[in-house]
Amino acid sequence: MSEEASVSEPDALDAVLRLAIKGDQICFGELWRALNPRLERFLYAQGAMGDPPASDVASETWLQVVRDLPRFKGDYRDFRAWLYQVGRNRMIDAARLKARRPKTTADIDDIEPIWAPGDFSDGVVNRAELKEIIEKIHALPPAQSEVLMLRIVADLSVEETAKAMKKTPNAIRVLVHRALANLREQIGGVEQ
Amino acid sequence: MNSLWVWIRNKIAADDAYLNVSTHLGEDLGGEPIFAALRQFANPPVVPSAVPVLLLEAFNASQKRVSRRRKFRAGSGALFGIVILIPSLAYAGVLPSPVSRIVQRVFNVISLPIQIPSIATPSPSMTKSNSVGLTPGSTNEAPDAEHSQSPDESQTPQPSDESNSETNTSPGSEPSILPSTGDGEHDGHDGLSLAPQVDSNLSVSGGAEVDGLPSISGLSEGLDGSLPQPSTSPGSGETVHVDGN
Repeated sequence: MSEEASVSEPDALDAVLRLAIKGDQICFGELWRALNPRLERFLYAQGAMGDPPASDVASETWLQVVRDLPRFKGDYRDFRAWLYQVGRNRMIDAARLKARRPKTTADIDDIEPIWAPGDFSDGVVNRAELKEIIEKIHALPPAQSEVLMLRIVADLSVEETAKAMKKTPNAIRVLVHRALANLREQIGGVEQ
Repeated sequence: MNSLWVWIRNKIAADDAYLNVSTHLGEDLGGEPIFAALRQFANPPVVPSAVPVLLLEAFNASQKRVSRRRKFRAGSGALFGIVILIPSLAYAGVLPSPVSRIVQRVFNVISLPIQIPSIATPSPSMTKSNSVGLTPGSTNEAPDAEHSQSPDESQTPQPSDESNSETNTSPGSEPSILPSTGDGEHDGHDGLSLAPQVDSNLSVSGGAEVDGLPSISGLSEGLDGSLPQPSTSPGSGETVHVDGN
């Protein structure tokens, strides 16, 4: 069911994207509804994780997209790759801003844990497992971690991930391969 | 060192083998059981949500900005067409002749030199003529630059000043008083460019009546002050000449 939807979705959203570029507000709303939930989840899992809130970073991402949408050229897949590229950049900006912020002297026990997936993990059965896998992915080198998040959470293809990360598709394949190997090593599974 | 090289070679070989075997990783990641929870997390529940109002406002503002930019570009193109393209085509003879004529006329108007009116100063010759018996305030206040620059010439006018006569008789020149050469060459009635014809019975402000002097009409104009004297030529020299007579 979901595969059927994923096959037909880009074709339908191609036309929606074209109308949104021309200024159709309703079509832009459809685009937002189709792409924003996954974008928020990707931002939440990949980096922002509560401070600043992933929804804030997503909003900044969409504002940037709205500013540059009339100049966008490409189809829906290109748009998705561009959206995640913008989101990635906004997330890096947010991380830099967070690093520049003066640190408080509060006790570490008083601070809420960064990992609080209550917002986006409603449908997840095993939350502990989710927390574990995300922590393990974060322990990977940044490029490998990011490529896994883009491939799994954002559901981008290899080509889209390559565009979002400004790498070649082969480099993405190699990154995925190494990330999987490292992850299996961490988990202790059998290496393929 | 050797072990490092072996490790790198194995890594490259593994990557190559992986790339040769699988060019699409969707199946690989889809079948990974370790990502089951992550995939579940990534699939959002279908909840109808409204687009934030601020985002819609930003979208509308962006569209307005784009339309404004399009209009500006169209205006720039039109301006380019008016300023550069149409004159070029007109000079090339592509446009019809009425348009070419209009363009030519506009170009002539644009290319005219700017004329700055000079401040009038009383010339020395007029001052000298006033000393004959005229009141100082009765002098004409329209001497030109040439007039003021050539007092010697005005005092001793050249009998055959052809250049002056040529200047005065040029078709484009303003009506001016012809210089009196004293040899009767210009009797004042030839009327080449003497616009206001003055009677010989005109009296100067000093009360002296000048009769039968057709060539002093310029003088009487200049001294009277009531008549306009658009003198831009060295014809003012005749006043001294008359006074000398």
